[in-house]
Amino acid sequence: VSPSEDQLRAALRDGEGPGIDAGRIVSRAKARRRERRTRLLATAAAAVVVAGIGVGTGLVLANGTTNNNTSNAGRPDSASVASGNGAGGAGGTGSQASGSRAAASCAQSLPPASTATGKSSVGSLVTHPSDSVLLCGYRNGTRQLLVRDGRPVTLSLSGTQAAQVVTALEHAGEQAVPHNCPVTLENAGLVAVHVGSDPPITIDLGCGRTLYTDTVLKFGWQPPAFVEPFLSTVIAG
Amino acid sequence: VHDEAGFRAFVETNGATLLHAARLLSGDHHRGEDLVQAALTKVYLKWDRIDAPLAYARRALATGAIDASRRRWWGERPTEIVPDTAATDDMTSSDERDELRRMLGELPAKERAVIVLRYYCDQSEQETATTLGMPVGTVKSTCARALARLRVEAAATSGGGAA
Repeated sequence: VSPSEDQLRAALRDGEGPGIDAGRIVSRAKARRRERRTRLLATAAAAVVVAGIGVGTGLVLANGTTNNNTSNAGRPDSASVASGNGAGGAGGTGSQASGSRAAASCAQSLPPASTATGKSSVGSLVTHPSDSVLLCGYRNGTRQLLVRDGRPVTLSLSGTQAAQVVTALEHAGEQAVPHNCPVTLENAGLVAVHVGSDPPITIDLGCGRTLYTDTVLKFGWQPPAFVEPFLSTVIAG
Repeated sequence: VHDEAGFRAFVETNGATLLHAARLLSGDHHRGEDLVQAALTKVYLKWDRIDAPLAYARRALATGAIDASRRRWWGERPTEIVPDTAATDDMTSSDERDELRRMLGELPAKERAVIVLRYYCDQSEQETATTLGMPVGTVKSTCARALARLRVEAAATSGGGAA
């Protein structure tokens, strides 16, 4: 055997048989295509199911977080720790009227706060008016909630009295007025006023009666007369 | 496939040569049929997107045969009844051609593919290189190596026959 290229060609061509049944190829290809599409659909469906489960789990987790936040906000202690706005602690006693502010209560202590940094005297102390107001008394130095006879020193007002307190808060001056200050008032107490859903307004009962929130600073609060007994208790410590 | 009639015509025209090429590439009658069916199925599925279906089919055959040679053959199962294989009078009458075909079957898959594409499908070296996805130089060297092997085998066979 000496395989020249021609011999090789002849050998390779030897035995060529009949053609192929095209119908068989077509039916086989169609079956293959169906199978491929089915597999693709199954994969897509699985992906959709997995994505759905993922989204559902995400939503459930997100709802859980929201609910936790909501319930934390409803818990006085947690809110007081989180916001430092004094909206926590035991419920007030010695109230004259309960009003609709059952949820508001006094924090055990007021967070330390500067009376000047980052604050403006222009603006309103009360942005969400309410028909009830809660006042909580605190010691000036320790900023702890005042307790008399085992009860926190608080005053809860509603209706007209609450409105008068809010009006007095709004009428506080924008500038400090210089005046002589008696020694007894140098370390007078602090009052946190809870109005509606606003952060509490802190009032320094010392000279000048400074009022402040996180953003607003005002001076010279002149409270209605019916609040004075409560303020005297706070000043007396 | 929108042009199913076109595909059928293509199979009618080229089916026989493709089947024979598949048998040469695989070295086996039935594997050749499987190979050509797989290749033509690929052609059918891409019929609307390919410009040169014959070249695509040949490439599918060659790569299919080379791939099959790389992996273990799981499709083959022992059987007590050996199936009939096609045989023609020409094949039985031509010992030399049979011998050449046998020697071709003993070549490595890549060399066999080069020989089949060059000498059965009458492709140029450039076309063979494109079909197999290899450089022309590699096609030339592979082809030369395969031919040399065939000649050595042939010489050994004829020498053995003479002794």
